[in-house]
Amino acid sequence: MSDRARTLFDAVWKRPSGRAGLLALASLALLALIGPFMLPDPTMQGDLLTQSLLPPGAGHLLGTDQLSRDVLSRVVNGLRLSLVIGLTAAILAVVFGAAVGLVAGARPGVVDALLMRTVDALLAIPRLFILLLVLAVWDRVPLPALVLLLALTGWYGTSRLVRAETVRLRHEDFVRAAEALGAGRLRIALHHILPNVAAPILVAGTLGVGDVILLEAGLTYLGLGIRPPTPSLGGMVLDSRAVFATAPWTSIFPGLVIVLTVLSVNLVGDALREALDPRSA
Amino acid sequence: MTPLLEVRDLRVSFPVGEGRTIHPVDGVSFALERGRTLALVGESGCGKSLTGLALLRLVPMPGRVEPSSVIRLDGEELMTFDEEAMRAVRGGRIGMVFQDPMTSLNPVLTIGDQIAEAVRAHRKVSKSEALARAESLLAEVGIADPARRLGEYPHQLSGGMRQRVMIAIALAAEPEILIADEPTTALDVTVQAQILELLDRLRTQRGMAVLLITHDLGVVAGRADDMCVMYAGQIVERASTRQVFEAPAHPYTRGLFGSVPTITGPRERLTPIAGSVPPPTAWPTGCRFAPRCPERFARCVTMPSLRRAGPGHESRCWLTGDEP
Repeated sequence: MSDRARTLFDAVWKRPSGRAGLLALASLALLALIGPFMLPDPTMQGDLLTQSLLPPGAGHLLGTDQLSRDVLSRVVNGLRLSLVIGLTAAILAVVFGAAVGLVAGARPGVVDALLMRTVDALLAIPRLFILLLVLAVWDRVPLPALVLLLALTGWYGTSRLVRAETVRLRHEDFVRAAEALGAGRLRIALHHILPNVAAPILVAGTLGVGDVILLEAGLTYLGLGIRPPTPSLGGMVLDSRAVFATAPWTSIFPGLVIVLTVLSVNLVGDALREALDPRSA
Repeated sequence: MTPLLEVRDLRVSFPVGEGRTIHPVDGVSFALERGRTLALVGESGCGKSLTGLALLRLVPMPGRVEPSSVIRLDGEELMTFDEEAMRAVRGGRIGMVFQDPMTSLNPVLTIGDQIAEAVRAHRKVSKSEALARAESLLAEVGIADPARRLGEYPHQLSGGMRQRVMIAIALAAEPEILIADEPTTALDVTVQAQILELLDRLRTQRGMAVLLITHDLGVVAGRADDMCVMYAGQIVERASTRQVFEAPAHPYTRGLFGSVPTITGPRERLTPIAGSVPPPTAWPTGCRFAPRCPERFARCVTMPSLRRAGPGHESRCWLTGDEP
């Protein structure tokens, strides 16, 4: 497995877009990881009269907001939260989607039909609509619940992908050979089919991270996601509406970080897809 | 003494719509003795591979082995086994080697993983014990530097080596019977001989019985003790390999020999069999070979049974033997 990871990394690194994405993502992750330890408390307020809405400068590299909090610190902490939410929600979504896809693909007939028609029905409802509906009713949703909601609305595509691959692989010679050696259904699904669908799952998961980050930022901007005082990128843009004209740094920097994060994740995802797609080789 | 594997009236059915079924394997009977090699010979589409799969009850859906079939392994009736018990037989007591080693190995798992998996499927041993066993199996099937090969992936191996790995996997649980379905068809000629040599050696060393499924008479010669010639889902000739090669009794078998060029002897034109194997939906009601047979006569409109051609030699042809 480590050999494959290595080859895959090399293939992504070889592509200019993949390399740019990896580098940007690595810098952002590093920033999110060590930044909070070196910066002031993102919720700490200074003297409101003299310290609020300071432009970027020596004391506060990216300036301060209307509550005199350090913008850089808030951006870095918001980024950390975004990455954590994006990663966990995408991983959960992929695990769930892969499980449903494997079961549907391995059990043709009633089970398959039932699962896939359910997925079809769920796909017909816009993701944002479900999220808005639930969050409008559920005030002050806790963070784990928000992550779960994002995951539970993001697995449909993966399940169809994995099902299609499973159906194809079920008729491969090596699966029949495994049957002839006495392997059971579960063993074949987990040991023989799953490693072969790892590639599309990886691509779907990576691109899913970008989707989730964007969704979370959007929901928070609408006042439905993460609530203050927890620093979040979407929340910062929301808070700066009133002062945007006079203090643009309060929303430009969090906005830029959102764009940069999603862009780099998607660049890596696209490079992965190209690297794994035999037709583009 | 009862034979190790006794197959009687094996019949595989497939629904083809409108309530009709076809029988691509239609009443096959043979016996396989310990330590011997039985060859199942026939053109593609004659049902020989399906026969091999049917022995493990692995006929692809929606086909099935008719319940009236008898498959007796060392006196035990496999048709009465449940799925759980069948899994123990598959790989555990009957190993199988498939035609194409390029596609029969999982491309994303290492060789060691795949052999160890086969070991652990039938035996309660630790992962490291299974890997040690995998290493000795690789050595047994003649792979140099087995310790290093364990960590490699199938694509790093040549076709011949992969087939050796497949054989190692099939041997992992020390089965009593090895079914080899066209084990050399996908390989280079030079490698073919080595693989057949290996199968022979393993059979002698382990006292296994081998069911060799092939279309290639050259593979059968000198390797198989007995052979069954299959045509259109039925056995048309059955005898020791020597008997069949010396005096083929069935016109189809003679046709097969006539289609193979010989290196020694005078140069002759090949005499191929006219036409091709009909699909199971278009089998004639009488002798199934009759439409292609150069010797057909009036009686061929009814199906002959296997008739005695000599001691231990049977042929499904009205021209065989003296009985009416």
